[in-house]
Amino acid sequence: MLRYIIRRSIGVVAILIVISIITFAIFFAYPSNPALNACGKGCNPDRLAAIEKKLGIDKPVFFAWPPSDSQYGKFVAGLFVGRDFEGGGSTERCSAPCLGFSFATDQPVRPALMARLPVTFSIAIGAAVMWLVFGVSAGILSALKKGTVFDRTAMGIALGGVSLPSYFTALIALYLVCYRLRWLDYPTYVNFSDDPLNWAKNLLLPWITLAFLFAALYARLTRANMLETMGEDYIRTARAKGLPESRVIAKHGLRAALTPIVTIFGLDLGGLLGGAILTESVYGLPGLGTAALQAITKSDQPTILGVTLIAAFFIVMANLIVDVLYAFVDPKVSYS
Amino acid sequence: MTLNNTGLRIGTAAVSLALLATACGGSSSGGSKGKPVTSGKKGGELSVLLVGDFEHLDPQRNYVSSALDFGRLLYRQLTTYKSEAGSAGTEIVPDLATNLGEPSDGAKTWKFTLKDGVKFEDGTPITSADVKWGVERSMSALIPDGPQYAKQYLVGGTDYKGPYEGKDLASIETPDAKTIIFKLNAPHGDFGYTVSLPTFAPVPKAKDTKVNYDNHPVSSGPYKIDTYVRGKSMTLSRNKNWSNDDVRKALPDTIKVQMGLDPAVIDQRLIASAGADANAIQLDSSAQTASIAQVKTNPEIKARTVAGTTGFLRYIAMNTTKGPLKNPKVRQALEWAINKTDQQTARGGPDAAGDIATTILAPTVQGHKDYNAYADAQGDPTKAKQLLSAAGYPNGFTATLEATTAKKSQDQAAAFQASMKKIGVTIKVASVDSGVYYTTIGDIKKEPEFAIAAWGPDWPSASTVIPPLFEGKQIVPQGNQNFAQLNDPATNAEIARITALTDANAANKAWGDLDEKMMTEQAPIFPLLNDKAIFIYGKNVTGVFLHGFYGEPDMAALGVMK
Repeated sequence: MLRYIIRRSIGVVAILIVISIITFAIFFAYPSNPALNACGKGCNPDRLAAIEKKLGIDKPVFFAWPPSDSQYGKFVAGLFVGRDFEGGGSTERCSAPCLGFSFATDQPVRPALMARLPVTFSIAIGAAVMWLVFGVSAGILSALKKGTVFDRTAMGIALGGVSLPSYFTALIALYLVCYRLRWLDYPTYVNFSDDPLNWAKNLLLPWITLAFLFAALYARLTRANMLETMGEDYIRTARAKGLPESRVIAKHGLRAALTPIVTIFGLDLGGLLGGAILTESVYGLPGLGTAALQAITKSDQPTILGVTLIAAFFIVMANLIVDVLYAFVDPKVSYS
Repeated sequence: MTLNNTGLRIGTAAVSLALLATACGGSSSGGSKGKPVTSGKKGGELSVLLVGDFEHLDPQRNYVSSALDFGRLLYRQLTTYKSEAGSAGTEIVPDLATNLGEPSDGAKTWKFTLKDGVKFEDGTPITSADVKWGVERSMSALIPDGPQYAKQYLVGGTDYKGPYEGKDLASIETPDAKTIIFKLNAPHGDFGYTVSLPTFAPVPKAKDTKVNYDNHPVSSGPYKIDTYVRGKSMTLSRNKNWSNDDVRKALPDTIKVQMGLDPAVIDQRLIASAGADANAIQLDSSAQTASIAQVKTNPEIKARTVAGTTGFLRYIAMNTTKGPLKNPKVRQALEWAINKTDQQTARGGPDAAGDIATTILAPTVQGHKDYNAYADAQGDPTKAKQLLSAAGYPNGFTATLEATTAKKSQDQAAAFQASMKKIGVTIKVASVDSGVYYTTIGDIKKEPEFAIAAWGPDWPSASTVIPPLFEGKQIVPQGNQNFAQLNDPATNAEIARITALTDANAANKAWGDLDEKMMTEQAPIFPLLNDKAIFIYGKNVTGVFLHGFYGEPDMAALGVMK
């Protein structure tokens, strides 16, 4: 198992390197020149060159000799040893792991994004708990009560949840809950450590919005898996042996049905930890998603790159954790 | 100045985002339709709801309309705009200086004297050296994004690389702590307006944190920054050392800014005006098209809005160096063909998009002359086809229009295609992402025959509209803003003549005449719309009017009913 984890961890690093190269190529080979934008009216070549140097885009993107002299080479070096940004008679230090300086704010990207992580974590974890509890429960009950009013109602709601985009659900939720009924104030992020109750109160609508979307998916998936599993021969065998139905469901049915749920849950949670752009932006919550959106609207490539790498990190890590969990969830899987 | 950072104030991210790339001119207003509730009482907390963060609050980097308006709370320049709606708001008054400047040497030398008792937030007196330092740092590559008039106008400015490399700029003289003299390389009769830009706000050398100054500019205005988390929030409180200011009312005790909100949600919150949102106002977004219907039909909400033109002109440039468009007769024929009402509809209709434009200079720019050289808003395809035949293109031709991928830009492109199709001109639409739009059309080799664009003045003078857009010497290979690529000797000569005029009235009249002459003879652009915006505010907000120059609620005049 340990060897497997080490081997996969090396794979994670390799994937992140590939993603960073691709992302770098996409954003830094983009035809926009942020230095030209910043230079403005009356821009002359000297000033343009000085601004390019300040932004760190005066070197070739990939191919330079020595390789550490390219933009990508400097970026990678910055990740491990930090880097200095020079320009206009001043040097700014960006300590390792350095993701560069934002073109928009001149601030180091990593601390700015790290400051937003608690918001994104709060949204993702709360929503995940909600959709797991409601989605999986609804799926199991629907499977066990197939064809009943409950099953049809639950699956109908699930179909709605899958079909409605979170942007729409969020706006409707705000309109109904905050504007029409005035049950809650418009959400603003409160630190958990400052006021746990208000933290939850302000995140309730974002959690419901995301949970509605994901729970629907999980309910349908769980139902399908449960129906398939409960029709297997070994379930019939278990029943024939006289096992109580609750034990048949919990030990033999559920465990097998949940394996694919664990896979998809890991990926979904990993993706959300990279920022729920639509939900965060509609609710005005300052997480990674809104950082990505603001960076995109300002062509702030270093921040876009930073968010992309963080999101990629969470997704590949979630994938790794899921694969490791398989060993515990699915008795057929062994890494020894 | 440019539009807001998100550009959502005018309803589209695409074109306005691209405007950031152009660092083009500012916004002015055509007057407020909302009746300001004026309490004149001090106290309370004003809340500002923003879609994005401020582009820059470092005064030397501040070049976006909403940030410039907000900057009135944090710093003062040598002159500033009156806190008024309509044309009164386009007039400047002394701010840190005692007067509007004393020109000599044919307006090539300008002297300003600072008021007594003006101080920074830490109580340090503001001196002429602080103003000089501020202007000098605007020329450093470390402090980009801001307007570059100082660099262009001051003797030696072009080669000056800023003060951080240990050299000062000799053409800014500070003979004593209260006097500052600017030596210009050419006469500029409206330099009093130039020094209203925050480029000319004081910065104390000892507290200049270079790129980090953006996070906490040292206040010379009525408020100081207490907290600022980029992209999230900001709080301001009173600067107790602010004094001797006749312009800013500074009514609220505190100002709280919330950033990163969805523009539709901002509208919804302000329409609801519940709880703390009763003290709130929007600044970098205006009422979205979907909200305007609700605003118009509900008298209570309508009473809490302020509307007017922003001073930005939306237009389509004709590249005068390309194919049939090299011929002015062809360009004139096309002017008769365009249906501007369709363009207005494409951008959301008269309430959301603005008024039909027929001139280059917006009504709020000094020198504006009211004329229409061509057809009414629906166009006259019959006459256009006759003129096109006479110009040698009886069967029309095929050309390309550059647009952004944003919906409004695409709708504009479709409307333009339809107008031109009626006279046999086939328009192909080339679409690029808004992030690279102005880089694309600013490359003179890549720019096609037509390009959708927008422009506003840096101060309400034609000198910040006509020269940058139509003077031949402004054409540069990349980052070009003369999108018509017009290089007409007669126009160039007239621009040079007017720029040297020191009589403001004569200059204004000459600019208006040149506007009409260019449109009649050269037809370099289709003027389409004088941009318009509607802002909603909470029940308790007082003193709201659309500032005559900024085209937004004047931050310096707002208050709240406690």
